[in-house]
Amino acid sequence: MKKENWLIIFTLVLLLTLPAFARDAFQLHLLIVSGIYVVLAISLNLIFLTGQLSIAHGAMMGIGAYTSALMSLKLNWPVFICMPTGALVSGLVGFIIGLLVLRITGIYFAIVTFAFGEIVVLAFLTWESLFGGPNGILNIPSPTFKFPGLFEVSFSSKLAYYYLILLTVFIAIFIFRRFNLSYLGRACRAIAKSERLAKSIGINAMYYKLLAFSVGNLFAGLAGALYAHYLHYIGPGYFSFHESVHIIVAVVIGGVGTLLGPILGAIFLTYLPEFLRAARDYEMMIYAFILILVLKFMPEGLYGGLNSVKNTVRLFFSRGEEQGGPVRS
Amino acid sequence: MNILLQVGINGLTIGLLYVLMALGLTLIFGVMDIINFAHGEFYMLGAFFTYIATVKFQMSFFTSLAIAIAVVAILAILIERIVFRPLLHSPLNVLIVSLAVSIFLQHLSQLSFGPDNYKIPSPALGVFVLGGLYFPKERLVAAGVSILLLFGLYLLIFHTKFGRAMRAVAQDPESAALQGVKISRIYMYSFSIGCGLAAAAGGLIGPIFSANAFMGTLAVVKAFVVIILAGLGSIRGAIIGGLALGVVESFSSTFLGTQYCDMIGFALIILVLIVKPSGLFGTAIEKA
Amino acid sequence: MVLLEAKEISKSFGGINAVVNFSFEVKKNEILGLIGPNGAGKTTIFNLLTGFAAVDKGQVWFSGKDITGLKPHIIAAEGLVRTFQSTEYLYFGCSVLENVLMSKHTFFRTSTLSNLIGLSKAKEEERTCRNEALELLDFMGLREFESTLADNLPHGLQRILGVAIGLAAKPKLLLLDEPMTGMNPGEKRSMTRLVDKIRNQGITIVMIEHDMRSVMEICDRLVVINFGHKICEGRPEEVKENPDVIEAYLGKKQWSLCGLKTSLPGISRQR
Repeated sequence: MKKENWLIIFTLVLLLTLPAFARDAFQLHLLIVSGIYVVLAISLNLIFLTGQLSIAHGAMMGIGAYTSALMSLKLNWPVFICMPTGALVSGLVGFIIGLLVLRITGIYFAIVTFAFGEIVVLAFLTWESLFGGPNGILNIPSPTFKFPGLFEVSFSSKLAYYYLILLTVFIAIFIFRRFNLSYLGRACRAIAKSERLAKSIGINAMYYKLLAFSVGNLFAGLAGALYAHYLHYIGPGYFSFHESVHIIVAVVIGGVGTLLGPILGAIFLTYLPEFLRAARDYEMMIYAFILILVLKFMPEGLYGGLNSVKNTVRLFFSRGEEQGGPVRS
Repeated sequence: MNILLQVGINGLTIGLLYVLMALGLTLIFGVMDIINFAHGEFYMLGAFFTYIATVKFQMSFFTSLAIAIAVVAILAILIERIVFRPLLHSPLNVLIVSLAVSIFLQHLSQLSFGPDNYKIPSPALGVFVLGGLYFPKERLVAAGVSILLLFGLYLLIFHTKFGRAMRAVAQDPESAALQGVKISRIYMYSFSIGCGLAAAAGGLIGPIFSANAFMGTLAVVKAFVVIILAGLGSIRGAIIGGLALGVVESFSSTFLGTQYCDMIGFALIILVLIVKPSGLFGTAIEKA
Repeated sequence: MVLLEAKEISKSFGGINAVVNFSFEVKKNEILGLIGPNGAGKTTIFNLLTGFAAVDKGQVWFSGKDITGLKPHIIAAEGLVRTFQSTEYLYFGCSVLENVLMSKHTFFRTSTLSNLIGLSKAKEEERTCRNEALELLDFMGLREFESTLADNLPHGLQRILGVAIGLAAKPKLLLLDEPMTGMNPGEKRSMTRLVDKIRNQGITIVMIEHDMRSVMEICDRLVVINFGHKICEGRPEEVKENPDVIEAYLGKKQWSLCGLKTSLPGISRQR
């Protein structure tokens, strides 16, 4: 027990002082982008918990991004109001779509989310008067925190934004962890494993699927809004099918269903292209090849892979008895 | 009137190629229960191998096409055994891995051939005129070969022992295994045939439109739209859907703009799936 | 006192009449056996009673309320819980304790929000339910397998787990669908004792079962179905003498008549 607490404290301190280790602005940029992807991956993982695959996560990110950006530009509201609003809009859209569509299961649900995502992106592309068409939206302001009469903090520097993202990541982790540990997570897992069985003992499958879907999309929207106010520019291409797939890959590579998995996957996928940059023309091929390797040899994802390494090491150092093995009748 | 017929016929000839693509995809889904994102890349490879055979080795179009299909089919077997087979228990992993394969093949092709377009020399030049309607001979060849392949596929699926085994596995792999069907072999060959069909479509379309490293993406999206609307795993649906798509596209590109077509297509998918998730021709799926 | 009542329920699937004008009453705290040849419609009746299938005609009343057409999870929350014939309906990948805990959720009074925030009230409830689940495992004789994965249990224990999952939902009436399938005689005796124990807790039971000896032993009353129709009902001793029942069984070779000690030619069951 105590060992775990020390580990958490150590990680916390590390994360808080991480910017000091960043060599340049670009490294800090990577940290920020990883953070945003961590939020996206964790929130998609939440939807996975109920056994549903959503290919609309990129689009939901976009809804949050565009809503927040437009509100800050056209309505002149403070960004710290716009961002949660963007998140809420995404959550609401998720809720409405979910009502219509969550009774469909499996691959067909995934397909519907894909189609929905495509429609959203097409709307961003063609509704030029509102969304700016292929050129997107420019000059999105940074978040500023006005303390009435006293001071004003602007989050325009990368350093400040890092801490903002870190805070969001902590919130996402907290919510997901609470979900997982409480009966909410249990009900979701029951639904994912056997919806029929879950219903037979009184679990309202629709309620939990809707809950997970809405909350997951809400965080996607939040991530999108944070992205928008960081880059100061967004375009429809940022929220396409490719984006949704990127997030799915992050979760699967990292390890579905766990807390650490999506975090690992998101960080891995953000930094991998940077390491491969030197390979230039071969970059994408090696990227794809690495994905195939990971899936082939670590079917539980990076988290599963690391776990087995940990277990092998542990077994190596102590010849303990197996716990909970097969029962001999 | 003539114009309508002309547009319709053009649509049908391209539609037949869509059918080849869609059938390959739906076959793989029906038998193996996997979505293969890399399907478009096999289509692209079919086009490129045909190109190499005709241009570099100076073979006739039909020989080249046959060789291209064979090479892709063998490649598909390799990929199925090495990459897909170990992951078949987890459809999510298969999805991602097929994506990775798609990226890999696309960029491999781009490295080898560059981003340029390559036109495969026409198997037959000129136009065949009948009753005021124009039938470009290349398209006739494409249509003819497609029909031949479809007929061959029909014979295979419905009139051979192998075809029966395929259908058994598609319905219920466990029972099929109990009856002595070697599941892994059926998977291998079904995957191979599905990709072979895609390759054929690619090779046939090469002379009409050209080939490039990224042609697979657009084609596979269209194939997916077809089989989703028609019902995953439905052969009838793939055929009717493919032809319908070809005709609809032909009409809309001649008379309207294509911009809102996409949106309508996706909205249609959502509508159909809400009302009948198994697609227009699919068998009803059990709601949990 | 009548706890569950079916009033002329019917169901047909694409032209086949699975259940035809079926009516029955289940009295509180009794053990009712629902028997009949394979394919007679027994599981369909369970599906109709619990909302997993919609009735074409007729009504289902439970505890004085009309529950016809309600969604399965609502009916389960009312206290009418069913188990499944196949052992595929378990939470695989989870331990035995987790399997049972899944059923406890209906009794969580704390809201979604308080759980998300992690209020101590929520954590308290979690602890209570955990203890209740462990007690249930004791009751079912599964306590020593608390951390074993459901996948690793032998078949007989998996069946008991299936019953435990249903029981954990604190039903007033438990519908058991073939709980003894695939069990050896020793396991069947355990299951019979278990069913009796459950009844003694005040729970009413309706059981579909093919093992005649167990059925005769434990059921207070029997209802016999063939081809979707009720052909007989009454006490086990009466039912087994009924000529229609005998004919229904003689027609199907897989039936074991070891429980029917009458002047019938012995037909042994192929297992």
